[in-house]
This record gives sequence, C-alpha cells and structure tokens, in this order.
Amino acid sequence: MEVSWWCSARPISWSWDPQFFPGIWVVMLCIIGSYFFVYVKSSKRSSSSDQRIATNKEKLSFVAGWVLLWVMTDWPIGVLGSGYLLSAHMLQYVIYSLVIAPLLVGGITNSMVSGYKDQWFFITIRSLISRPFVCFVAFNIVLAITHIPYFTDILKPLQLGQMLIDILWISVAILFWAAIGTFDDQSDVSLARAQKLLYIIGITLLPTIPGAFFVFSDFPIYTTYEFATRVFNGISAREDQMYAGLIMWMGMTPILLIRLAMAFFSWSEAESRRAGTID
Amino acid sequence: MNNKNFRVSIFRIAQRSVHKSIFSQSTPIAYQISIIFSMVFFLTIFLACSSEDRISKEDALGKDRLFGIRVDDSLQPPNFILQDTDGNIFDFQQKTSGKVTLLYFGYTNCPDICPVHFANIAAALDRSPYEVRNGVNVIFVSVDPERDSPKKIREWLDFFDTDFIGLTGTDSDLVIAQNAVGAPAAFVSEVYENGYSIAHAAWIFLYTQDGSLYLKYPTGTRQAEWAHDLEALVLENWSHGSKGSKNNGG
Repeated sequence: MEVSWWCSARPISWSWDPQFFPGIWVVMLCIIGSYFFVYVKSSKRSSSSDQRIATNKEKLSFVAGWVLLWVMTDWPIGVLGSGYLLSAHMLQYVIYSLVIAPLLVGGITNSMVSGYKDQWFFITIRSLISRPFVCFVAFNIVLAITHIPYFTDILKPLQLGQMLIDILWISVAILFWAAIGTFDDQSDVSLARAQKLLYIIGITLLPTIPGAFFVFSDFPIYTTYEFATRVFNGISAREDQMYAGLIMWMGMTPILLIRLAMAFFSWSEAESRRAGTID
Repeated sequence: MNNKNFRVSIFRIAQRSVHKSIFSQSTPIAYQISIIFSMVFFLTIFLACSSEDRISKEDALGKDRLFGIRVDDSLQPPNFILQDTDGNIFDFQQKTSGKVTLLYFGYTNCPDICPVHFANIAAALDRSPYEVRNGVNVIFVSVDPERDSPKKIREWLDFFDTDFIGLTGTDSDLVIAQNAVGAPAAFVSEVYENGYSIAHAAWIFLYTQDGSLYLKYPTGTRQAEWAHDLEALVLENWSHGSKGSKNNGG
C-alpha cells in the first residue's frame, strides 16, 4: 500500500479513517525539537549571567502555536483542505497566518537567538524583518499567488506542491509577525504603534478582496474542489466555496478585533505609565 | 558604447528610486499601504482573470463553440426501452424527443465519478434560467440492477435533483442500451469483502431536441462548461451549418 508523506489532493472518496503522513510528523518533531534544543543550549550559555531565556508564557505560546500548526496541517483538516473542501483550506490559511504565526513568534525570544547572531540565516532573517514593508508585500504576494486557480490546481495534487504551500504560508506569516515586532519590548525592531496597527488591519482586510470572488462567483473556481467527492452531503462545491469566502471575511474580523483591542490596551497602559498613574 | 552606459545609468537610477520610494523605512506608511493595496488589487484581478469560472457565455456563444466532443455523424440517436423508477416502460426515443437529453450509465454505489458528474450537472442547471432547466432531460441508467433497486435509484437521484430520471432493466436490456449509444458494456471490475465495483463508461452522452447533434462529455467537464453548453443547445444558440467545427476538444 502506497504511503503518502504529505497531504495532497487525491482522486479518491473522502474517508474518516485516520491517515498517517510521516513527512508531517518528521517536520513537526523537528520544529519542537529545534526549539527545545535552542532553549537548552541558550540556558547553558546564560547560566552564569542568571538571565532568563524564556518565560513560561513565551514557552506556552510557542507550544500552543506548534500544536495548532500540527492540527491544521495533518489529518483531517490538512487532508480536507488539500483536496476536498475549499473552506477547510481557507480555515488553514486564516489560522496559519493570524493565530499560529504570532504564537510561534511570541515564543522565540532575543535571548534564544542571540547565540546565532553571526550565522548567515539569522543575518538574512534579521535583514528581512527589519523591513516590515517587504514582509508585508511578501505576505500578500504569497496570498495572491497561492490562490490563483492555475497554480493551486497544479500544486494541490502534488505532495511537494502542498508542502510548498504550507511552508510558504507559515514562513511569510512568521516573517510578517516578527517584522511588526511581536516580541515588542525585547526586540530592537520597532515600529510606531500606529504603523503596526495599519499593517495588521492591512493583512486582515486585504484577503477580503479574493474572498469576494469566492462568495459571489457563479461556479466553483478551483477544479481541485469542484471534482472532489463531497464530504458532507448537501454541501455542494459552490456552497463550500461560499463558506470559504465567508471564512476569509468573518474569520479575519474577530482576530483583527482581538489584535486591535490588545494593541489599544497595551498603548493605554504605556500612556498611563508615562503619566505616572501606574507604578 | 555611450548609449549603453547611458541606458545602464538610467536603469540604476530607476532601480534606486523604486527601492527608495517603496522599501525604505522612511517612506510614509500611507504611501506604502496604498502601493500594497494597488498590488493586491491587480493580483486579485489576475486571479479572477485566470479563473476558468469566468468563461464568458457571450464570447463562447459568439464563437459558436461547445465544450462537448462531437461523435461520429453516422451514429443515430439510440433506440432502447427500459423501466423508470416508478416501474413504467421508458421508450428512450419517444420520451426524449423535443428536449436536450443527457444520458449516463453508472451505479449508485460509485464512489467518485457518478456522484461528481451528477452534482456538477445539478449545480449547473440550478444556475441556469428556467427555460434551460425545463428544456433538459437528465437520465441515469443504473448498470448495477442487483444492488440498485428503483427505490434506491430514486433516492440517489433526488439527492441531486428530483427531476432527474432514473432507469433500470435486466442485464440483457442494459447491454442493448449501452450498445445502442456506442458505450462499452459495464462489468464487475473488482470484488471486495463487502461489495464490488463496476467498470462503466464515464462519458455523458448528449442528444439535441431533434437528434441532429450528438455530443459526449468526459469526466472533468466543469459546471461552467455545462451551463454554457446546455444554455446554447436548449436555446439553440448554435449554428447547424457549422457542426463540423463545433467542438473545441472539450
């Protein structure tokens, strides 16, 4: 029996029988393994200076992001999104971009990466995240390209293609959130609060444009989902596409509101501190 | 030589200007955001334009194109008799004349091709004007009489559209019907522990109202293509004089 190593669109009926994708397991274990390897190494390095590498909240943030990443990439959501339901694909995109990426970034501290400052990959990433606009452009270009039907329908049936889409989504999202300074005070990457808010509004509002095409299109846009066997009786390919558009619209809104509220309270607190009302 | 240096200089100046104006951190945020919005807008337009969903009915009709593949002219509309899901005799030629007719041989336990075909046709008709919906017969002939009772066929078809017609018959009647349309006879291809699968023609056969055009549609015919062809054929927005050059290869 052929074992697939990554989720992809396959011309077979949907089944609720669990499936095992070794490629996804390997990547996920590598991610968490690397995180704790770096954490332990940094702890040893800084044991003399009594410096804290990451707070429990930061570690929890990374682990929560990692768990969500696995849930969104592996069976069943990964399989549904890769070849059966456009709405599952869109849910993956929204969660990857607006929840998982900031959680992962929130768990990586300056103390953890300080030992790698001279490494070429760190210099490259550092150079990228010091240009939030470039990361913003990359984020939106990846959004547009990975939703062009021509490319999507070619990439989705290939395991490597679906893997590429997953990696592109999470990579540009991580770059974006790192660039707008998710690890705020600990990072020397700084942007004015208003600019940060504008970027956050930008990435949550721009996807509503392609979302409109999904909602108002008369027919299914992607052949991958048009010819997939139905997962839920009574939900046609076009209805599924409409739900995908709504996820792009509605799914982004609460996340945007939460981010805006967080930013507002953070700003308010900072202002109060400055005014001396809080110790 | 001077000309070449000049062009290189101009290119470098342009490159620096673009870099400075867009990517520099000193560029006003409003300006950067407006550039992004413009870029995403154009990319989205590109997305929309690259979608096959935007097949323009007017353009396609204007070019007199149909997505179905034209079958040999020498084949006559089929003549066979089966039984419908109410138990009545169904004379194909008699019952289908005057309407565009889609004919398909499949079985209700089919895991993929049959339900996808019927879901797509139902969706296309659902988006079509009333006169188009009313001018089309969709006929499903079960090639699995052992498992597909008339009741089961009816329930399966009702899931897509209650107007779809279901037919069944004896094994020999079914072979006659398949031969009449030029389809290979279906056969049991694989036997499992708890059932079996059937190999059958995956084409959908289409006959026009007057039987003057005979097309077939492969697996992979899109909803937009169905909607286009059915509207053109029902409303007779295609030219009888150019039959030979009609199909575009699907």
